[in-house]
Amino acid sequence: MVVNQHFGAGSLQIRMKKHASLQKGSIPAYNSYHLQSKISGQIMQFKAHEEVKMIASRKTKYSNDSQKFGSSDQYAYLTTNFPLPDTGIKKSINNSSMKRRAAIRGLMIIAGGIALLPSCSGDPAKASIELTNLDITSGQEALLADIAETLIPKTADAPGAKDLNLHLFAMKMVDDCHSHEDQEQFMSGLKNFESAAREKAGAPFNKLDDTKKLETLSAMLKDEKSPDLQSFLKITKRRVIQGFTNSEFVMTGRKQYEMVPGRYNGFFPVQS
Amino acid sequence: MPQLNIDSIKDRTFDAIVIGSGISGGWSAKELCDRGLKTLLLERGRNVEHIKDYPTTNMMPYEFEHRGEVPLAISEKSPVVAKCYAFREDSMHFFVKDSEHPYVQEKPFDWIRGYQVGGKSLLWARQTQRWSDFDFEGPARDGFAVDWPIRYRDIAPWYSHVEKFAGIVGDKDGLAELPDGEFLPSYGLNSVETLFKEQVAKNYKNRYVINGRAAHISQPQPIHLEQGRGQCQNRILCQRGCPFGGYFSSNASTIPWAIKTGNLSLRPFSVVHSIIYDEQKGKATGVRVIDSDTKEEIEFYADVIFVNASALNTNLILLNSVSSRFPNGLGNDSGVLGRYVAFHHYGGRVSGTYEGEMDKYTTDGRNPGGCYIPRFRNVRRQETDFLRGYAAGFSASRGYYSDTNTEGESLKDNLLNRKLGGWRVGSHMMGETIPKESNYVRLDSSKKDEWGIPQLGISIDFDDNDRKMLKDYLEQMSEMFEKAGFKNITTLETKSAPGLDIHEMGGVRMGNDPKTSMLNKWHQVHSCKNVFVTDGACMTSTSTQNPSLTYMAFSARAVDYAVQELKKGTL
Repeated sequence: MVVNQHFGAGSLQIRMKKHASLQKGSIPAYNSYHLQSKISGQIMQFKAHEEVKMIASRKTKYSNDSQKFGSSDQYAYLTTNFPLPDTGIKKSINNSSMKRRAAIRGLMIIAGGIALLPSCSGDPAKASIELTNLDITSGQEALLADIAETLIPKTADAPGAKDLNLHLFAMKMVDDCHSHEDQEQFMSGLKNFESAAREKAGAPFNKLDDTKKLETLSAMLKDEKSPDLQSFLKITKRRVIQGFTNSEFVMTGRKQYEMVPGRYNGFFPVQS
Repeated sequence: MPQLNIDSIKDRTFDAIVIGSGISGGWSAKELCDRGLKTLLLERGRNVEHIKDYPTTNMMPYEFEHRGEVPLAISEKSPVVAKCYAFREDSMHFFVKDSEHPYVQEKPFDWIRGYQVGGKSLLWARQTQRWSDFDFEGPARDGFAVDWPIRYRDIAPWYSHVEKFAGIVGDKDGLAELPDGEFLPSYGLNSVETLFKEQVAKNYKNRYVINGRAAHISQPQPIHLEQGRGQCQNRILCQRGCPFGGYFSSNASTIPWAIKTGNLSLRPFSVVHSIIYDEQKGKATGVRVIDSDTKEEIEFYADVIFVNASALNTNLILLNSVSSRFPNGLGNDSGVLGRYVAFHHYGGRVSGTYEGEMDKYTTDGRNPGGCYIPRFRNVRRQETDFLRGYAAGFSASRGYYSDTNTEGESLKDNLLNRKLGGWRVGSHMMGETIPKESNYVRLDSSKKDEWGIPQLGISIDFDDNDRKMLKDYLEQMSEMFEKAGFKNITTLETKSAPGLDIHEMGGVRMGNDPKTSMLNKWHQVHSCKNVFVTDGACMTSTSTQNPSLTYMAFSARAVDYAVQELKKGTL
């Protein structure tokens, strides 16, 4: 299903396995957790609150396995052995709500780690996700996916923009968080992109090879003669970069974000 | 519905009522319950139970639909709170929707509110600096407001009392202008902060850069474990509510503690309309509440009432508590109620960069606090053409960056292989503003809120003293940066309206003379002795310290006195 678009089939199995264990209400890793206070050496046990155990077990995994998180192969290890939350809300202790959320999740599209509601229209000519302010066609969505993939392409060791659905993330952000003026420029640029690209490269963007795509896109980003087009590409680039650096793959898999440091050292030597 | 459950006067009668469950109300309730008083804690917002009601607390950044940004449709409905630095996708559920709680800005005022159990104690910046006599003696020495009826010696033991319970990190700095307290180990200054501290000490007399004292548990003591709180994990996600109880909030600390005594009744969804005054008895007998959902009016009764509704809402409640004895608001014989409101001046920032020997260091983990520079202007004598002065925050930090001036595989490679950036330094001012009669709040009876309560009209502004102070801060801090060897020094005037400091204070000020003040030295309303005000409304002057710690200590001290007086039968 759509979940496949996240990290491929392997990750789907992992997710389903996780949901199965949640549905049974048994989360063995969380049950006997002791949060050890580092300085005092005193041991606290939180009995009543699942959430604390969740964080705490996550922290334990970090400290025990930190050497193992280095490459994307090991990332698979991480997703299977590490209680990654799906929505945070899912951690609600209520079992039936978990089932419901798991079911809803099955219907959702995962874009860079977040779940987006699919479009209700069912119109194949429309965008695949629900948008409030932007009227984007499926063709424009596919073009945006090509642009995003050109900005951050799939490589041997890491997923690309399409794998992470970063074009959908960019659409969602422009739809919800950008001013009306930004939205107008974005749409105007998106509409004019194809003809401008054709003029520069002599063929439709999606027919160009990867090198030519990159060359064309980079030139258009620098082209100040078409302000709407440039604004559209700058917004897209900014949001695609944000979606990538804030993705589960980069933040957790590549260890760029640590949620529970449990320490502070103001004189940490720079590793050369 | 509540009337069906609480249908007799007896069931609606308590020993004490506390209005408001934020940082000061939580303390009033805890101290009352600890002394065996059956206490009703009223909160106008919904319940927020520790851990259970922190829906975002464990979410990874990529689990937020908008990666932390607030969608326009939401911020447009709350244009005031949207200006607050802490109003983000992970914490926006702890702020009011402005449109649901209107007020009248006679002059621009950003009133930042969090209506829920725990109030803004969930969201505060956790800085906890003590006042000294340089602060308490300010109005008398410099001839503004009225003299504080208390001095440092009156409050010092209560500072200790609340610090031990709350858990405060800090160093024993030995400064007369910022007395030491009961401290847990501090997180320490980083390399560039240490360099700045040394340079400031070398170049200036009586200017100090210290670890800001902050309400984090760096090393849990038995009293913290007893509250069910653990060590701060340096997540710096405090505004979501902390599942470890690593920072102090009413939700993690005072309220669960009060519940454990068996003496607390907590009633959320209770908008206080007014305090009921009994002309025969010559004192307050209870509180009139509107249930925020059903709009039903309910009266609750008690021997003693603590008003901790937050500075401006406490003013509103007293102004709206009218009787034939007090036609202008409870205890307002003097006419000063609602006047002499002041705030903290956060109008200036200075930033810069550092390159040098400390480039061999960075930081690891996260510091939930930062540095604090106690007020150094006009402390021991008047030395400038403006009154009083400013404290300042300071921090140095070093992050990662990626070159994004490229596309394709090279961009991706840059993003996956971040580079350590250079040091950045920054400071912000926290200035004392002078309480003036012309800075006031009042009831605007032509406009009512959803619960039939008159809206608050707010008329508060900066003055020349504030402008001179801002100029001085920008000059002095730039010079201090320069002397420390910082580069690319830039100054910024934030131009923000009063209120965004979230340190509004006064309107129900303390003083010795009932003709010019509302409260006596025990926080009792002069002319209605069983009503106590211990939140920001009681402040005679503002000084420069972040005020919450002082409200906590005031609350504990006033409860101690109130219970003694109750036992003597004098209330």
